[in-house]
Amino acid sequence: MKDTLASLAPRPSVDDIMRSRRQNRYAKGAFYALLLIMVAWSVKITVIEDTDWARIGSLGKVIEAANRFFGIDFSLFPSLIGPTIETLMIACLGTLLGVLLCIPAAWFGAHNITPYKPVTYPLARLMMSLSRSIHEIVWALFFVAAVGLGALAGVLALAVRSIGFIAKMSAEAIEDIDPGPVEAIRATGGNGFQVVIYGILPQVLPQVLSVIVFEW
Amino acid sequence: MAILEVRDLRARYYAIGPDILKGISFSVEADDFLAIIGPSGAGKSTLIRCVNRLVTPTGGQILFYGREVTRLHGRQLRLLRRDIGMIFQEFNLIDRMSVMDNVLSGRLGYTSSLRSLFRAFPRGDIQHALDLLDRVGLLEFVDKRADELSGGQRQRVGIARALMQNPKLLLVDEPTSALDPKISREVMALIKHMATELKVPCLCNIHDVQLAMEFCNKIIGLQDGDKMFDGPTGEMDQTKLDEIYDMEVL
Ligand SMILES: Nc1ncnc2c1ncn2[C@@H]1O[C@H](COP(=O)(O)OP(=O)(O)OP(=O)(O)O)[C@@H](O)[C@H]1O
Ligand SMILES: [Mg+2]
Repeated sequence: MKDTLASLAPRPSVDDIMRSRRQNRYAKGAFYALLLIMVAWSVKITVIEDTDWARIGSLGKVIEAANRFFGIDFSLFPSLIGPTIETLMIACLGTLLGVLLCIPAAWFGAHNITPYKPVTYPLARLMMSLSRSIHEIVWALFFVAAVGLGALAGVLALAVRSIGFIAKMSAEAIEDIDPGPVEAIRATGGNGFQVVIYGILPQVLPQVLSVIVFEW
Repeated sequence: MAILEVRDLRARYYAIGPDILKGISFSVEADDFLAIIGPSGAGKSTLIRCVNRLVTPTGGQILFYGREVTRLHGRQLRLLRRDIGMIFQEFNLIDRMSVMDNVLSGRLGYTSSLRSLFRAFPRGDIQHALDLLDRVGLLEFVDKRADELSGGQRQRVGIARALMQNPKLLLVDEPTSALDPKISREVMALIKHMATELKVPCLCNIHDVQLAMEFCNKIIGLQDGDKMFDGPTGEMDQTKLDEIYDMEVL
């Protein structure tokens, strides 16, 4: 009975599967490209135009020159909407940078995957509690002193601040995963990177995303 | 020549802890379907995990196709592992991925990091996965998420994933303990059928002595890290079984 039902269903063809998988990849690629463009744009109008680059040194001059090369005039921004959007962008960039910094922090700070437990684990845990125990305003003041008043200081302060929270929650999510799939991927001969993206990431992604959105 | 030869294998989990395997020797020939039986905690899982080095033995030798593998690491170890398929008691699928992606993950040892990031497996792999899914009777579940399947179906995905590696040896750790008796027999029959057809020798931990007697041509009996029996299924009898399971009665 089951066999006849199964044979009635159209047999999926390799071509169909290849096509739908390719479309899937393109959709994902397009999404990430868009994200990247938006990030670049936000970086440009908040951080780059708003920072006293001379204060940071020669790297600053390079960026400033690059900026002049782009030469888009944002003075046309309606005077009220502009700052609002800018604040929003600072929040987004801060969280995003925080998320990037969280990747090594969560990796080092989860006891089941930390590369060298006696050193990397306490190091990551120290960073996490440091970032949380120092107040946001203090971080902001610290970065203003370092890079000058402006959006960059805001972005950095937000980023450092979010490591504490996002990395801690992510590390704990990683510590709670089912080790079974990880072992299965190792057993296929997968390398460390493949173990992370197949064995670990799918298990923690929903939790990590909700923490990131919450922290935003 | 034996496919796998294990000599005086010793293993423990903690430097000062007890020996879990106390010098086990046996070999697996090309057409063997070898059962490892024994009470809970005897070291069955530890033993097969030493073979693909999910556990590192503390002593003895493991020769896979004549090559000593107990000291391999890094790339050499990954190359060893991709030649050895593994089927797990708890299936160990990636719940949030599709059946197709789960089966394809059996190819990771052959796939570059970049390709695996984008799940861009070559056409030949897709074809192979589709064939295997057909053979294990899951063709209509290709796009389903792994966590939508029943236990028996999940184990079939696990079998397809292991075979996707084109393994030269299958390690099977209690494939049916999470399944009901009827499905258990079906799953064992499927593993046996595929292994025979693809000519892959199997090393199979199994709780259920009945199933071991029915499907396997050789049996190894473990008790508390020692080998108590090693021989063809026909030589196993009730007295020997009682001896192997002795510890559990006490
Ligand atoms: N990861 C581990 N860390 C520490 N001890 C372990 C670990 N895995 C197993 N052990 C111990 O090793 C011994 C043998 O375990 P093993 O899982 O190999 O037995 P088994 O024969 O497979 O039992 P079961 O039938 O319950 O699966 C047990 O005493 C167990 O407590
Ligand atoms: Mg076991």
